[in-house]
Amino acid sequence: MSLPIPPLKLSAHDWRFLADPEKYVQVSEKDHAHKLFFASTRRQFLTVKDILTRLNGSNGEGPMRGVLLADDVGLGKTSVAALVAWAFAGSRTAACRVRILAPNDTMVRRWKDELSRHVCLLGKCAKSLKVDNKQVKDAKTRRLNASSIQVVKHSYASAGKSLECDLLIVDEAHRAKGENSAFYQALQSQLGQVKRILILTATPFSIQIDELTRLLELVGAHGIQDDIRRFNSSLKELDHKHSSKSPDVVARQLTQAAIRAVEGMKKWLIRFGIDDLPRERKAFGEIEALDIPVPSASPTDIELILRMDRALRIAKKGSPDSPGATNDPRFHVGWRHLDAERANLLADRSGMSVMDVRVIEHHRDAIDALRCKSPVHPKISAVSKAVLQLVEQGEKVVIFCRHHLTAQELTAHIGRILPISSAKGAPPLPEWQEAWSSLFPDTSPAHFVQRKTFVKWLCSKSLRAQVWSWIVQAGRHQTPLIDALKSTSVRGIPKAAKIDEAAQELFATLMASGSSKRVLGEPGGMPGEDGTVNVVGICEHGNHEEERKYFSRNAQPDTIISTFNSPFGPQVLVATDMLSEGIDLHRYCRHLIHYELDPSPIRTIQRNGRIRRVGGWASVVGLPVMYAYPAFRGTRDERVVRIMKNRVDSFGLLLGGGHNIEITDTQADDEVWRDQVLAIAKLRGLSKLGKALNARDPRR
Amino acid sequence: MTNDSFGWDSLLRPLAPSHFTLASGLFTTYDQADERFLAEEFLPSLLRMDRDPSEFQYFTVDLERRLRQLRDQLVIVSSTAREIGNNSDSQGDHLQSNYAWIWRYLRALRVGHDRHGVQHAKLWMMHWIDPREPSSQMLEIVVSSSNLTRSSFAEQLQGAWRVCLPMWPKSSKERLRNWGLLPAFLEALGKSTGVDGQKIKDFVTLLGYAECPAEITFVASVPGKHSPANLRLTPWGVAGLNALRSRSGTLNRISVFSPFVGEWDQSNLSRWCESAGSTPKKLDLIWIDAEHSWAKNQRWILPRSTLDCLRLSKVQLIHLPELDQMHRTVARFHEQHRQGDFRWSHAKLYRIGTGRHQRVLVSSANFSTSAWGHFGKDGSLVIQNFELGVCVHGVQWAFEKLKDFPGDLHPAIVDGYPDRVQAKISWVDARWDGTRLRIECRCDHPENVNATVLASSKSRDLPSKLWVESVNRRIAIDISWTKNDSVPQIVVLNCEDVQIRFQVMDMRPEDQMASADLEEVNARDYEEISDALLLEQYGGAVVEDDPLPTQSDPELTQKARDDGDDLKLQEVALGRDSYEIGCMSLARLYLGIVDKWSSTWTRCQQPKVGLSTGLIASRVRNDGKLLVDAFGRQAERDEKNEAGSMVCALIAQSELRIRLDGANE
Repeated sequence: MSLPIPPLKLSAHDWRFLADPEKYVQVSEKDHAHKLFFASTRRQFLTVKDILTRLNGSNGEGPMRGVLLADDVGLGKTSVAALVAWAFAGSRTAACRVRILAPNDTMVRRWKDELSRHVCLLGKCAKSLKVDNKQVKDAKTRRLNASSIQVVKHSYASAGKSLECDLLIVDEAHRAKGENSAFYQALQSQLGQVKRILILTATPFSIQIDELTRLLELVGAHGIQDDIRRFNSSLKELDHKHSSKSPDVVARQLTQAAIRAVEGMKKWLIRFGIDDLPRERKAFGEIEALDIPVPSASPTDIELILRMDRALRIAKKGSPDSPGATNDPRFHVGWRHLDAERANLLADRSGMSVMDVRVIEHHRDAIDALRCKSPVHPKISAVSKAVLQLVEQGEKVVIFCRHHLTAQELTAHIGRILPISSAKGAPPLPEWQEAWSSLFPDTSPAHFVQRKTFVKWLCSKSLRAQVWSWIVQAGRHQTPLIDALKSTSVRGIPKAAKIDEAAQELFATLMASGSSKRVLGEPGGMPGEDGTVNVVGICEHGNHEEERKYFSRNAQPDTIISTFNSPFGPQVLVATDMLSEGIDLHRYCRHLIHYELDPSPIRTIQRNGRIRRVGGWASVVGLPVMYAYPAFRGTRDERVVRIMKNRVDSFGLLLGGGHNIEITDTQADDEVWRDQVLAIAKLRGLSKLGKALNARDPRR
Repeated sequence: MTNDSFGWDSLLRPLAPSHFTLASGLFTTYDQADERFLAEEFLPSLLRMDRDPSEFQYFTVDLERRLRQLRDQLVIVSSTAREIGNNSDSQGDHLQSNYAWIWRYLRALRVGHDRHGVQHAKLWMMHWIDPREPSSQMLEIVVSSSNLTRSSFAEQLQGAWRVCLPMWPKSSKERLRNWGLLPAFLEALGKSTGVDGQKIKDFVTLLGYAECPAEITFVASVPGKHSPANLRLTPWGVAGLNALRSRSGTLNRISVFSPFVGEWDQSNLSRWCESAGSTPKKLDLIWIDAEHSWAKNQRWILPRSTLDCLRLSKVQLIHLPELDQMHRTVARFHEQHRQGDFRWSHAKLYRIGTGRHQRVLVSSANFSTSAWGHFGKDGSLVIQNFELGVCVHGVQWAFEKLKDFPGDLHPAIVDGYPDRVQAKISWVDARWDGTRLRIECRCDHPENVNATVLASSKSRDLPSKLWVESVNRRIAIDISWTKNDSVPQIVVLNCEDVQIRFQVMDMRPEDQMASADLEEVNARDYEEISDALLLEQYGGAVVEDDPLPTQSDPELTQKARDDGDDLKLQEVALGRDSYEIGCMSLARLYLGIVDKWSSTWTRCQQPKVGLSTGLIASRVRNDGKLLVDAFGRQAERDEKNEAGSMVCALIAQSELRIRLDGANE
């Protein structure tokens, strides 16, 4: 049963500024920190107008309860939604109440920043709107007044607090896809109190297409579930080869089902994929596969995994732990977790028979002998070598792992093999201190300690070596140092920022973050300050004292992220999925390695979005964004990559976007067949189907 | 007889729970057991095999493995002599089948070692053990009219009584006594088979462990001349019906349903009725008319002289008409017995009693003096056959509504009673121990006997001069015969116009019985299939080519949904095994086999109470040794299929060795 849709009193007159994106960009150019790209702004304005029209019911169309905005990662959904929010809250006729649900504190902060960023611009471009920072409220506000925008966390809804408002914006709504999640249930139960709803997610479904259906139901969509399920059924046909059906027939069925599903959804769903936007694509950078050859698992590697699986199965026989955990994915991509489990095999012998103990000892002894033969995990070794080559080419690399222990092992190994840069021929330390001190003068006593720490860090051995290498590369090593810092582009790229400019920007960014400010307040907190580190891991660091230097020293990774997103500091960042959402790593990095994949394609797409963003390093240097999906062949890891390819394909088939994960090795018969069907389906237009979901100009 | 699931093979389906395994079995039949029927129908059912004989190699190796475990524990007792006219399957063809090798593992015995006798009883005794709890055992007994031939099941309707009883941990004399004539019958049967009589005595022992069901009476016949004094102790034949007399003195009403009626005179008929507490006037014979399909080919036989005797004695003939249109909708004997059922009845059923005190006797005994005994002038009873029946209460009599023979129809009869041919060879036995072949027979004309031995790759005639006379008209040949002469399988004995073919029992020690002897499957295939079956027995699935299931598990999916566990839901969405890799699946499969073996072994270690509990442990330990070797060979096969995969079987082998060492300590 669909809920009644109460009318809004929004006036399209208030949105006239959306017809002039150029002016908006021009106004923004006065503020370098928030520089806007015209093509992106024009597209975002189009989307805003489309959303407002749909929700308000202008141009002869009846109003809609909600819209699902599913733009690709990096296309600025937050900006679009912020403008929609202001159009509601700033309307003098409607004086709407807007509530925004963001996933966590960081995102709440970003939302507030985003809303604030538009205050000044709207003040100049959309004078009919009433826009003021004071209208933005936090969670403490108990009663949401007219013309206010409250930004709260998802947990606000899960806790059962009232969501009553005129417009509810749900950011990162894929977290509400689970039918039984408290968040989803809270949203569903309070839909009646919400006049309009705008749902934001780049990944409205991951594996289960029902997730998409559920989100669409939240925005009031109806009558399309069958079409979506039919498409899903066609998709499932690809799981197993049908020798009786030609790939052409299956591809045609799939395409037809997808067309029907997209036709049904487009009333409620708006989506731009980067590939739909040739004018903006350049600013994001093209995508290419980074091939990292990993040898196949040797019999020794396989035996290690099998014996550990077996030993754990026996050890866990009597315990409540699921025996399913014995084939831990970590065993396939590193040895550290395997070693930890090996050490604990017989820690608790309760419930074990004498024979169990004897058998476990047998496998444990065999594991010890095998580990001697394979001291470094082959995938870690292979990926580290590839990383080393990239670093030698002056590239920054971000590597994602799913597990802390894997990230830890990989970080430590990369740390061990990466050479320590030396500032050979560089001016002596006092000259650096003098140069940087003059560039960061003590004008404000309030930030004295932070500036001192920052300058000290810039003068550390590894930073000097790094900066000096750019200066040498640019042929400015004869120039006085301070001039060289002001006139030399970072990383040897003329189009890039100058060294001083980049350092100033980094310092400003750090000072804008409370946690980074605290880090700068204590000596020794900046990454690589001791001059020995070229890699940093944001993960649990374990108990290996000699490895501590490779890991983030506090729970707040803001400082490391900001540093990595600058030209300075560690070349390699190893992170878990804690950093896969809402973090920018694109400014100086165009290489991303999925060392360990999460099962959800959302994670993969979100991870990829960290480095493919407007104005990323790829667009600066005019080279593609490089993604690597190295797979340890013959192990579960290889299956994970294959399955991820299928899942990303499935996502992209319906909604467009994503990208083709290239798997070079020949796969099973079924998979070759599947790829063949998909290739035909794409030729038949499936790859361009997503365009039907693009925002449209309501006047046309 | 009113069982809805009654089908031609229903008798083959054991009552014992499906996880019980056969420890031993005794099966009696008139005709020599049809080895093709045994191999393809009878034994697979008892041995709980589900493989189809069309998979010939797998089937053969599977059967061979299972029989090897039961070597000498399955005893089949049959007749040697034949009665002409009794409907029996022709012998000969079945000795040409691909299954001659099964006799290496079965003990085939024949009655008539000391005196002439016909084995006509149809008794099956099966000793079942729960391998998961060896002290849990059952004794299943079937008394029927069915021979161990395919036609008995496929072409005939049979009468049968069966029971499956739990066995007590200890034997009791009282329990043994409660079985009535059955123990004595088995003793007599064993004695009549000669040297292997002890094999049958073992089944008498089993009876002491099981409680005989209440209100049943065994009625049995044993060949010989039995004096009245002896009959009082062991009331064989018709004397056994004495127990069915009414205590009030009221005469019993008796109905007879038997496909073969022998030659009766009024005196013997009268005495038979008297023994059963009745008179000929109160006797009904349910019979068919001359046009009935069962009359063709002399399937149902009633000599004209006997019909005259019956009429003179005022015996009432009840007409059993052909199944007609009505029997399309209404079944007669059981659900499947409807119009169009081509099978003819071989059942021998008797209803005896008065009013509500009616009993039904389900028996192997036709209505003949050979079966029930012929009264001599001295009051003794001369019986030709071993027969066995069981008298039960409360069974619906399927012929209740039949009417008297209509005047316009003639009963089906044969002219003259088929003469009994005095069997010239009344007992045979042949056994080979790997070095010597010994053939024995009991013959009225030993000087005219000659023998031919059919071996797997040749035949050999044995000169008559080699026969050595023994006692009681028995003669024997004992010659050197090694494996180099190939494995002897069949002996053909000729005596004048009589020819008898019978199997050679393989008495070689177990370790000399190489798989290579199974000519139907070459040694390499045998090894591979045998390994696969052993792995399959302990939980492996290597025999099948089917891939492992990859569909998502609905239960897991639901559980993940219920738990709101999104990650888990994602994990299971594309199938629990979607991340499975070949070597992990394979290793787990093999290690699952090790687990199954290990848990089976652990269960065997429970306190051994009852009969034969060590049998399972011995089998399991032996299987463990075989598995260790099989894993070694499987590793090589896997490596050929996929390089690097041998490690899976080798891990399982190494672990099983450790477990086996523990088992041997």
